[in-house]
Amino acid sequence: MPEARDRVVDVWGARTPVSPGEEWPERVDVHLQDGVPESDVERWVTSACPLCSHGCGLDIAVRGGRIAGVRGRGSDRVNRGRLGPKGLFGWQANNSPDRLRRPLVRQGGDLVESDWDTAMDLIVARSKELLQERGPLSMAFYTSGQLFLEDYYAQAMVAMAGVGTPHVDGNTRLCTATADQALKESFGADGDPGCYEDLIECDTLLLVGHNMPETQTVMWARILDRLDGPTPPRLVVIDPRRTEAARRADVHLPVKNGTNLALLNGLQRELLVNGWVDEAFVSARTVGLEAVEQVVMTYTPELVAEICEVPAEDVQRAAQLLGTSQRLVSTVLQGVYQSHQATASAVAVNNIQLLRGMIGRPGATVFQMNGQPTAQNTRETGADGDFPAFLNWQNPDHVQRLARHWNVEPQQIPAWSRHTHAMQIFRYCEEGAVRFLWITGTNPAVSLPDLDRIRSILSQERLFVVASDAFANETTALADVVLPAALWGEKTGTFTNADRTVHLSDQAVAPPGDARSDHDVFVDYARRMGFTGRDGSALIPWSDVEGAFDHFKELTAGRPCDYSGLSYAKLRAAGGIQWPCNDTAPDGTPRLYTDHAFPSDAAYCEEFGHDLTTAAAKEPDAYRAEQPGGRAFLKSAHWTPPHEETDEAYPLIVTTGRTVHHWHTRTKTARAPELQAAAPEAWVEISELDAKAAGVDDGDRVRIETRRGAIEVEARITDVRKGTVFVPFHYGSWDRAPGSPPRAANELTLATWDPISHQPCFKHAAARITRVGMSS
Amino acid sequence: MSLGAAIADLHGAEVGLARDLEAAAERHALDADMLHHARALAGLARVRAGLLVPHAERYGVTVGSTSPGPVAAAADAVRHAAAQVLGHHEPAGAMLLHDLRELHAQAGRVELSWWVVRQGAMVHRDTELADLFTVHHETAWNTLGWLKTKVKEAAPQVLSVGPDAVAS
Repeated sequence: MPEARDRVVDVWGARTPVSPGEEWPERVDVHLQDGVPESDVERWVTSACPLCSHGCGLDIAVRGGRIAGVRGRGSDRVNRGRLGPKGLFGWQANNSPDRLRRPLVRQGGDLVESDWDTAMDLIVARSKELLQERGPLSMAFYTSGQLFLEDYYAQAMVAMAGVGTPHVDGNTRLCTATADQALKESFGADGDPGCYEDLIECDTLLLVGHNMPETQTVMWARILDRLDGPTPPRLVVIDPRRTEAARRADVHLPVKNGTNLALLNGLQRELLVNGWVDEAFVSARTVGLEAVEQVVMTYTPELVAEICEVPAEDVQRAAQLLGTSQRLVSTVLQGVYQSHQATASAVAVNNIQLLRGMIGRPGATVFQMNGQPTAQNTRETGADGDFPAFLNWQNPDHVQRLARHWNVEPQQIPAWSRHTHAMQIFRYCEEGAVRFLWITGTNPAVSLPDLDRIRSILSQERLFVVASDAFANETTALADVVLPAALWGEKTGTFTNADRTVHLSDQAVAPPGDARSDHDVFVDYARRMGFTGRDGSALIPWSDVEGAFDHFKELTAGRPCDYSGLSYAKLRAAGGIQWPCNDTAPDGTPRLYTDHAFPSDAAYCEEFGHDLTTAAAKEPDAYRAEQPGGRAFLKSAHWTPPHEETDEAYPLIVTTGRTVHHWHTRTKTARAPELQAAAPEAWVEISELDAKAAGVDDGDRVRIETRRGAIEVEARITDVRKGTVFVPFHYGSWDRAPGSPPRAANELTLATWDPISHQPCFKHAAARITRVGMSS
Repeated sequence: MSLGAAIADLHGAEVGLARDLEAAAERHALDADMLHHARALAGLARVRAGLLVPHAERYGVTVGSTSPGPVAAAADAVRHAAAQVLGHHEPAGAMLLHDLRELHAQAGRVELSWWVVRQGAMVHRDTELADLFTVHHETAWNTLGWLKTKVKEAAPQVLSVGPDAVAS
């Protein structure tokens, strides 16, 4: 086994080739603190990796009351022992000396160290004052995709049943709100239908806007083991950058940013005109073919070539690979989700799978991927504003069921419209309608679009901001109260990955100082606020996280995300288990929809969906009239140009994204020395032709500017498509000297979003580049 | 009333809706749903209006311009600038709700006028015009639906928050 340190460079580790029908070979990756031999580890504690959505099973090494390393769990089917570079090294952030240890409160303009009683008294006093004077819609909650299921569920119940506000969302809005939405639009409920084994069983793979080699390294390792094995799958990659996946592709379509939907419509057309459609499946198990044909038949390869700036022959070749596959897996991520027309484009990939009848069997599925480790739980528990357990807010029976379970009157639960999405919450803060914002485990002062505007919103005197985090960052600096949070490894709870695998993560060590889990803080807040159920008993009826889990799982019984057959004891013994898990599937469910019965029945579905062109929400009666009754939906829309087109003043498209060594705003990965050393500074990627036109050499300092702001970073000449420049979004200002020029990608981005999923468009803004200095 | 006049009336309603959507988009320029999506819906209305022009001409009626004039663009620029200031104050929500209701009324007029034209097409056995209805009525109907979706979201906030919103 190679030395773990090499894994910063050797990102995917050693190859272990695999073919369909085989189990992925074990390869256990370990990294322990320097100088600690494995024999010195006192305890190994069950957990999973929290640094992407793949959800690799691992054990945490404990020595002397501190985390001393991690070891991939060989028995876990998700990773079979493998860990990526972030998983191997990222845990060191827990031990960082600059963790927040005490609550901070703002006094005379400064944040000063305080204690829990003082901090909670301030939060409670402000809450009560606002509820009295301005009502529940003056309060909002904005959470994460990185807490645990139990944290989210407590928060959702406190916000919706306690406070009674619909202003509830998570940073999953920036991440995979579109995955959630596309699954609802096509199938009737959230939940990825397949399992990772499908990557071993498929004969053809389509990656759409998914830089898997960098975002989910262990998932990509599995595909590399197929590509380097005896029966490699055919690979089609749609990405404006020549990513590692694109380099390995049979067909790479370097699509112009902002044109996904035209290409995906064109691929559907090719399937239709060449007879590559499973007609028996489509006619028996789907609704809407005719309307789709009406739209997509316009998108000839020639028209697609013109709009997307890719060769027409390559569109046809790609379609042929998809059309002649026997077992097709598609995966989708931010290149689709963070573009305009995000929902329509993600649904178009679902359409491809449905037209081909490629769902519900080994090697035939779609992954509407998640980005974050616990995004699935944000969506399941109600912390993203949807109702918990995939209950439908427009279904009065579902509202009754939720109210009964939460022991409140049905009218207490905000079910009069869809919840308020994150960007709209910040808009309400901007106009002064929302005066209280509680942020947990996320850093909007770096991660939201149009940062100048976000900073001015968070800095308002009239807005009371509570920020719960493990580290001081750009957002906590603007808060009125800062709460020190316990991290992964310092609290017990569960989380669920992108193939519905639920892992238990046990507490390994004590949190530093007075830090507490968000679950405990919300339960404490509910008690201090005096929130009660309809019989006057305390609103939150459980006392610990296991109680929260059990309370949630009871609510999920019979729902698509059925947790009712799970328990902490069972998860501790068996490792990861895929929902639904109940009496009929006690060991969990590898694949959904194996009987081609989709959760679209009007009485059962999570949502009634939208018209993809106008974003009009479908009314319940109109939905029932379509009589979906367990069939999937085919839907489409015409391509439209993006919201900000390039022009003479701003001739380039700037797009943003992740890099393999960092996670989000680097609060964790910059504190892991190996990862920080691998990518210490922000940069911009530019094509050789564009660099030449701008007089820029590799390594020069350049200024990237849009109509909203500018950053100064180092230029790297790469094979990104001509006309597009790429900036990683991880870099903010917390670890820089005051007065340094800005480098956060979101200084540049546009505050606009998909009208259905409400996910911001980070992938397209008009920009210009100028050289400011020589390479050093 | 001639069918040509009915088509011209629908054309006028569509152009009016497009103008109203564009003006509202700029008046609420800090609300991205309005700034971008209302503009997109305005674009759809102009596309529908443009498709009606040759049909009106077939019935001997000349309709007005489908594109916005320079005065409209100047007025929108002023609205956009004003929104940067007014958008930071609470009445912005009430103004939005007011505009959404006006837009809904105009979108309703458009949607119903499509039915008037469609009925005329049927009685004249004009299949070409009837086909236009089949393809394009849906976006007119769904524009109405989007405005309702947006009203449902906006109204609770306006009616619940504010110094005098909480019942005593």
